[in-house]
Formats: sequence, structure tokens, C-alpha cells
Amino acid sequence: MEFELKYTPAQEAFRQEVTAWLAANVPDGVAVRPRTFEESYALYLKKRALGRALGVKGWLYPSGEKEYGGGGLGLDQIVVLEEETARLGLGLPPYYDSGGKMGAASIRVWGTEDQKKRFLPPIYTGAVRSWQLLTEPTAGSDLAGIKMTAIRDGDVYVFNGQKIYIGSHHGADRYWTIAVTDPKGKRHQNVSWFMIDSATPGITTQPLYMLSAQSEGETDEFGHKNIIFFDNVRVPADCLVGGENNGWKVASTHLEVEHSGQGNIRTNPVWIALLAHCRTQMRDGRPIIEDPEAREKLAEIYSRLEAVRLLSTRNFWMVYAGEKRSYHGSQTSYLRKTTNLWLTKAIHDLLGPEALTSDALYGAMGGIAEMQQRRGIVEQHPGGTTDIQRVVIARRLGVGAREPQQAGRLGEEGMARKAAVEA
Amino acid sequence: MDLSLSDSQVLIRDSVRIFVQRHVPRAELVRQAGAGEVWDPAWQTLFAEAGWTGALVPASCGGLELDPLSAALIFEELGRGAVPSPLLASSAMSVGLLLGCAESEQRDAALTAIADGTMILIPALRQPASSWKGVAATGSSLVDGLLTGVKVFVPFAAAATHFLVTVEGGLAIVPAEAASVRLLGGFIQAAYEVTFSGVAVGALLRPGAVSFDHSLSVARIVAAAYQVGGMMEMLDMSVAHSNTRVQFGTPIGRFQRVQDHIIRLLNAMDAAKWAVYEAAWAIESGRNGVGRSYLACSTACDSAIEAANAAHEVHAAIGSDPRFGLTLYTRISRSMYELLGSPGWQRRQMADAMGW
Repeated sequence: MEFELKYTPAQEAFRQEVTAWLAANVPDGVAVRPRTFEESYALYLKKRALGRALGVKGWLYPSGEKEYGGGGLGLDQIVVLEEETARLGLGLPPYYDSGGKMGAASIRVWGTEDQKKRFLPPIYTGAVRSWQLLTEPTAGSDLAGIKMTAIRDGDVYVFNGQKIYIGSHHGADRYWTIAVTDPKGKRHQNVSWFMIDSATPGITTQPLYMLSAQSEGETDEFGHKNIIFFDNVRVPADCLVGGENNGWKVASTHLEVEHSGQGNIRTNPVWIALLAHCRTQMRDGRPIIEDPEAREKLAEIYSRLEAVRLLSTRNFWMVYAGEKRSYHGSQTSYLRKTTNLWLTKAIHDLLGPEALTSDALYGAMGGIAEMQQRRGIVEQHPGGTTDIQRVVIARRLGVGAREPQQAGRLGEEGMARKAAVEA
Repeated sequence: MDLSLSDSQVLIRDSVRIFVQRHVPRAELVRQAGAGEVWDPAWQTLFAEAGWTGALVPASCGGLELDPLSAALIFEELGRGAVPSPLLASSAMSVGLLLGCAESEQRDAALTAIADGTMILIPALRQPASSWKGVAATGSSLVDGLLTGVKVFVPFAAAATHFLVTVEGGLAIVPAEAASVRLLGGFIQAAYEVTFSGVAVGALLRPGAVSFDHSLSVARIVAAAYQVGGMMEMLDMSVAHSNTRVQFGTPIGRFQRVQDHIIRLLNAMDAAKWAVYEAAWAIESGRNGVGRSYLACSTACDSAIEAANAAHEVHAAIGSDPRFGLTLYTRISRSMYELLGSPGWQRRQMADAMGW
């Protein structure tokens, strides 16, 4: 086994190209949290412009096929790109683009050739930003229980209903959503997926601020959610992806991505900040880390976080090596969520009330600790609650005398990469 | 990055699996446990023929000198079968301690004898009424070169041909017939009191450049792997039971409370398994393997008890019937919990080894 990515001379050369490009193109202050609406909007525009510039290079969605505007890059280069953007406090894309990430993966598997040509290039090049629209007021964990309808009327589907806890701030250009297309049909056999232009008449948006919002208002990328209303929205029929009433199968791909099926190899940034804080912050006349009790707590926290990191690394490798997965994505999602909630108390124990305030003088870890207190709670629910993850795990294991359920398809790139590695 | 096993590692794992299937059926282990038998000494010959007794012994002393992951896979499969034997104590713990000693003919002779199966060297470390503070803190005093004292919770002491005893100034190899052993009863596997009464210890093995706790890094990993194997089997048993046990007219696995226990078991197992695999890689590739071995072992010790508890919740009453076999694993989860120091102690060592 080899747990570390080895960098070839070609990768190091690529890293140089990436760092030089990022140095020249990433605007100052992209990792700074905005304090006003004006600052937030200006930052958003900067990030979108950066996204388009990355798109030109094929680096916005580096794994996307080149013919559809993606980078067509292999794991060796994608890893370098992710590492170097992460160093600047950015992800890929550098802004919230849930519908792009998960919609694109699903379209690659379920879209027609025409749809791939229409939908993927704007996503991969950063021309559009997309949000996923799943949850409804009466359908959260029970996605098959959605009420929003999309009824065929000639060449269009007519949408009526609402979605909640959607997106982030400053709007999106496309919506990737699921709706009931056969109201009299059986559960799971009556829903379909669509990619919708957000400017279509009849769509209205109402903001919603979650516990993780830094402040109420359009300044926060993470805590700002929306309710989106559809009132007789007429959507062209060729926006249907995966076939009418076949939406549950498309959902299996979408949810596989959302449930961390793809994994990652990052160390938890909260851990990095926490260790640094304990090394430098004085308490009772010595650095916190020299207090035996604190040291023990730190070791306990590290052990718990390492379990999550290792299973994420396992998933990362499984996807890119084309290994067959089953419960792995949901297991990692479950452990990440439950560990982050546990972490709120662990950090509170370790740092005391300093973990609860964002005060510039007394707040621990520059406010990261206080933010973790809120995010650890909020992050329990997006992408499926912990209970839903457990249901998925049990089904994938075949518990209850059921045939073990298969993981959602993530496309063929994994198999292609495996073949390339073996060659 | 490649998290797959090599062909030779798969071969090693499969050969141990076949051994367990052929020679150590669960029914036989249940019978042995019921009869108060600790292990089958005939296995030692088979272990030696397969090279497992010398898995971690340098090739220069006749061992296989396996990489840590290959060795871990041997113990993972033995743990899956709940195979009771002195292999872990002798061929991992004692070998680790010997490799932590300065080079000497005596050391290499012992390593050679362990590898060829003629010596079963059991470490006798713990002193009565003392908490575990590392190997160095377990040393017994010698009076006029004679060893007198008691060591407790010594694993598989009755199987020993020799004991490896920590004394002031180093380690002593003592013939087993020079000591008296007494099996400790209760819910603990093959743990003994070993009494030395005025035993002449001869030349000591002197400590080498690194601490004995450091030199036990691979032993910690393979001990953790043994527990991982046990958790794998408990998972399989629990899934199978949940699918066949019918209550209220339905397999109990349909109940989410039962599913939750199985998922708790799965998560405990996978957390330990991947910590073991990464630690083995870290040792092999020189990336703070000491710190990661503490992480792997502490995680496995905590996980094994969590997994066993979850398995018992799935199985209910039949799980507590010794004839069923689950308790073989439960007892191991308890017995190994502090074999190499408590998880809390290990995590403290991890913090030091990580340079915090």
C-alpha cells in the first residue's frame, strides 16, 4: 500500500505552472470573510471571474471531459490543482456550485449527448452557477415524498411547488432539481430530474438565514439559504435528464456524490487551526498544549478526526482506482457529521468559553472555534441526515435479508483511470 | 497512492485463512475454551513451517523479515479466526523487544530460535499493583544477579519455552522451567502470574539506541490487526444473524435499532483497520510510524470493545452462550485492551511521538 501521493517530475512541473497562474490570477482578499453586503457581492463577482478564468484553463472542473469544456485531467494533475487552490483558501469551483458539481456528475451518466453538449460546457467553463434543489417543506430525508409537480404540457413541463434550504447568497443561473412527473404513479417511479434556467418566469426566491450564517444578510456564503417558489413555471421538455419517471435512478448518482462517495485526502482545517492555537495560546502561564489534560483531549480529538480522514482517503482511492464501492460514501458522511457534532463539545471542553465567542479579543482560533460550534450543528442535515446515512449503509450491507444495494453510478472515469494506471 | 494489497500480501492473507479454516474451526475453539484448554501446541509446528514464527525476524536470523503490513495480515486472519496462540507475544512483542536491544550473539540466537519455532519467548513485563508506564518502568531488581519477583497478566505463559524479563539494565532471557506459572481465572484470555524465585539471569541484553516502547511499534500494529480481524468476523456474524433471526415475523435486520448496532460495529472496525494499514505503511516508508502505531493500537483497543458490545446487542441472548462462539471474540476484546498499555496511555505517547 502507498498512502501518499507521489509527485512525478511532470506533476511538479504542472505544480509550477499552477502556482504561477494562481499568483497572477487570484485576486487579493478572496479568503477574507466579508462584513457588508457590498463587500460580499464584490467578493462574489471576483470569485465568479476567477471561476471563468479557471474554466478557460480547464481547471474549474478539471475531471470533466475536454470535449464538454472540462479539463480532461487525470488524478495526478487534479490533486495538484486541489492542493494549490486549497493553499489559498479556495475550493474548486471557488464558489458554492452544488448543482454544477452534482448535476454535472449525474448528466455525465444519465444525459443524452445533446444534453451533455448543452448543459456541461457552461458549468465546466464557469459561465453559469448552478444550485441543486431537493428539499421541500414536507420532504427532507424522504426525497421520494416530494410534492413539487412537473406536468407535461406539449413541449414543456409546468412546475408548481417550492424547494427550501437551497444554495447560498447572490443567486444562481441554473437549478438542478427533481419533481413529480406522474402524480398517480408509484413512489420512486413517478419522479424526474431537470436542469432549469433560473430566469424562467414564475420562479421567485426568498432568503433564509441558518445558524451558520455569520450575520443576517447577504454576506455569508455558508449560512445563507433560500426558499424557491415555482408558480406555473414552463420548462422546455428537453431539460428533462435521464428520462421521464426515471428520476430515482438519476438520484442514485446524484446522492452518491452528495454522500461523500468521492472522498478526499485533506486534513481537517479545524484540526490544523486547533493544534496551532494550542501550541501558541498561553493559559495558566504556559502554552495550552503543555497542560497534560489538554494534551490528552487533543490526542482524543486527533484520533477521532483521523478515522474520518482515513476513510475519506479510502473513498478517494476507491473512486479513482475504479474499485467497487458499497456503503463507503454514506459511512464517511455519517462519521464526518457525527464527529463534527462531537467535536463541538470536545473543543468546548478543551478551550472553554473562548470557543463560543467570535470576539476579536477573546475568541479562540480567530473565530474558527466559534464558527465550528455552529457549523457542527448545521452540517448534520445537508446531503441526508445521519439517520438516512445509516439506512443507506444498512441496505448496502444487505442487512435485513435484503439483496445488498449497489452504490450509485459515478461514471466510467474511475475504470478508465484504473486501466491507465495498470497500463 | 495505491491502497490495494500486493499479490504476495494477498497470498499470505489467503494462506493464513486456509490454515484457520482447516485447523481451527470455531467449534474446536469453543470446545477448547469449554475444556479449559488455552491453545493447541501442535499449531506451533505449523506456524514455524509457514514461516509465521519468524515473520518479523530479520532474514539474517532465519526469519521472513516481512514488511509490517504483510505481518499484520497474518495476525488479522488469526484474529478473524479468534486463534489463541503465543504467536503475538513471542513473534511480535518479544521480537520487537529483542530488535530494540543492542546487537549481540545472544540476541541473534534468540531471534533465530524464535524464527525456527524452537523457542517460544514470552515477555513477562507487568508488575503487580502497578499501572502501565511503558516497558522501561517494568524492570525488576536483581539481588546478587538473581531474579526474584512476580510478573502478572503474562500472556500464554504456559506455552513459553523462555521468558523475556525486564530487569534493571536490560532484558533477561530466562528458561521457562526456572519459573512457576499460574493461570488467572475469569474473563481474560490466557493470562498468567509468573513467579521467579532466585533465578540466575546470566548476561543481560542491553538496550539499543531507541526505547523499548519505540521498538514495539510493529508489535502494536500487528496486535491491532489481530483485533481488526476479530471485528471483521463479528461483523459477518452480526449481519448473518440479523438476516436469519426472525422476530415479530421479520428478520431482525429490518429493525433500524438492530441496523444501528451493526453500523456501530462496522464503523469501529473500519476506523481501526485503516489506522492499522496506514501505520504499517508509515513504518515501512519512514513517516512517523511510531506515532501512527500508537494511533492504530489505541483505536483498535477502543474499537474492539465497541464492536463486541454492538455484536452482543445484535445477537441478544444467544451471543452470551459460550457455545455460540461470539464470546471468544468478546473475551479477546477485553483481554487485549491494555496488553500494550491502555488506549489513553497510548494516545499520550502518540502526542509525544507526533512532536506536539
